[in-house]
Amino acid sequence: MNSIILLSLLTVINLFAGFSKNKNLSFILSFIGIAASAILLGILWNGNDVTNILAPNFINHMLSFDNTTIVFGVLLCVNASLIVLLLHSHEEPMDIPAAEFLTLVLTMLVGALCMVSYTNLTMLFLGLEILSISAYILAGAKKRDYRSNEAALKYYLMGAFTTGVFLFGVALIYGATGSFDVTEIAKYAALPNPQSIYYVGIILLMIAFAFKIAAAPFHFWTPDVYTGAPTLVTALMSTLIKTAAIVAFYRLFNTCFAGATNWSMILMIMAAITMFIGNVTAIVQTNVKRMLAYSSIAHSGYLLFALFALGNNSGASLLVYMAGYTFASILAFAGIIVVQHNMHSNDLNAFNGLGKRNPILAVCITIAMLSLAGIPPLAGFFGKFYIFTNALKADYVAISLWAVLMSCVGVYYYLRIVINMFFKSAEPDAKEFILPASYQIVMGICLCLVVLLGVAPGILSGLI
Amino acid sequence: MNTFLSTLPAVPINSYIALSAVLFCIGALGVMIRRNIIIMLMCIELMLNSVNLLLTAFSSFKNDADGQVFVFFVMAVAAAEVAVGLGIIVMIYRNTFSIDIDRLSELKN
Repeated sequence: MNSIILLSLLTVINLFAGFSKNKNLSFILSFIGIAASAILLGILWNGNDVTNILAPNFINHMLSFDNTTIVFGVLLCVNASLIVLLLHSHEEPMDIPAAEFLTLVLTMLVGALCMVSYTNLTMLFLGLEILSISAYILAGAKKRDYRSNEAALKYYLMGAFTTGVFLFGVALIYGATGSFDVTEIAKYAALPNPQSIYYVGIILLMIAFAFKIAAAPFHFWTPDVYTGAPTLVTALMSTLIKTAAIVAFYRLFNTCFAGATNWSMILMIMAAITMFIGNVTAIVQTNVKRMLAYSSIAHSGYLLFALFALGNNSGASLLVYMAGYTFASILAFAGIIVVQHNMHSNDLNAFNGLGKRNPILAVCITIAMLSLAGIPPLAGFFGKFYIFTNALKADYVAISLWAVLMSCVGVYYYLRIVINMFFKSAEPDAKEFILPASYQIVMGICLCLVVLLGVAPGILSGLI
Repeated sequence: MNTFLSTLPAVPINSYIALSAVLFCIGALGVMIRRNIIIMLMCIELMLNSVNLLLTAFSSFKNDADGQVFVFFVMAVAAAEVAVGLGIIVMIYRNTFSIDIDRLSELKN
């Protein structure tokens, strides 16, 4: 709770810091603020509410910080701070000042923290909207770029439409259960013969969440929006928003509908279609950002495994998967930003000969791609391993085999970039790219984490 | 007016659900069919307001204030959302001099 208050205050202060002549002031403020909020979250570990000014009620039982929430909250903070670092030496021209960009990143983090800690659908709704509205603005951060405009509009229309669907679902569930509190809803869900509006409500909520995490058949906005938005914002969308949405989805199912098996069938079909569309369509893409957008859709499919094969280990497997995916994605997007800045293109051919020119950058991108593809011993492999093992334990054999098959398809398009980098020659006059200092730091951190989580995934999965 | 108000509680909850569902569907269809961005925005507002109606009806039938409090949140958020949406539309109009959504298809391959 303190972390949310701190970040909310910081968003206002940060806007004023934009007036300062010192360009670094807002970066330092945001970075310290995010680090402090991660620490404030960490203090609550195992229910130690020693410093909480509003303890123990958390605004009338609307938020709760159990260990699962805290771990995901810290992951979100780390995620946001890496993006802040990347922005520091960002060379892609943005039409909004850095202080405003940072403020929006902070508001997104506030929304994301509400979404991982809610125990009342009101907070879930507010968190979702705080996150989404900031994201609409960020998607259009390049005001004069036609493609960024289009991305912002598409994202906005889809997001606002989703909000409507989500709210209608919430209203129907409220009508059936008489409460917005998840524990009350869980009590109602356990009763025999619920009303039909309750079922309709849950289906509408599922559609809304499928939109947010970009799961098929509600994924169609993703490629356009991810391609058109500034690359740094794409990195935010595919990591921060996805983590927040999937955790919110998981919390809803874990608390309210844990015993109900009739939802797992719908989620399973959704996961199967999502993995197929994501992986197969990614093969034919020549734009790397668009390819990663389809890859992000495919990853949503794997993430849905944690929801339909709900068990004791679901939270832990989701955490390992999300951490591996987040760090590998940020690593990949950081590499893409550097290449894009120097080659003015996102095409696959822009990566030709990178292995000779910038061996370190090429190795970083390779590791990111291998982790996303799920090659051992990297973080992505263990994420998939945990998720598939849980599904197999719960006797979901066919869908697990399908997922493994789809992962193999995925390896093909991830390796295409690697082949371009190491086995194709560049134009003869190509120069070595210069990596700004903050990119070196972020890529170093992500690289270490991807390898570390691959070698010792137990450090995360043991936490919850 | 008084007879109207006195007959109001006699309207069953299912009528409210049906009315909200119809309004919601009109809004959703409008977003999918119409090509003018401003009208699409209005349709989204219609969707949100149908939800408000439904929440208020449930709240009144259950004698529970939570639903009506939620309506205030929905209104506030809808206002914020429309502000951002209109901002995006202005930004697009400055670049393309059009608010037709079909003019924006640069990203489709």
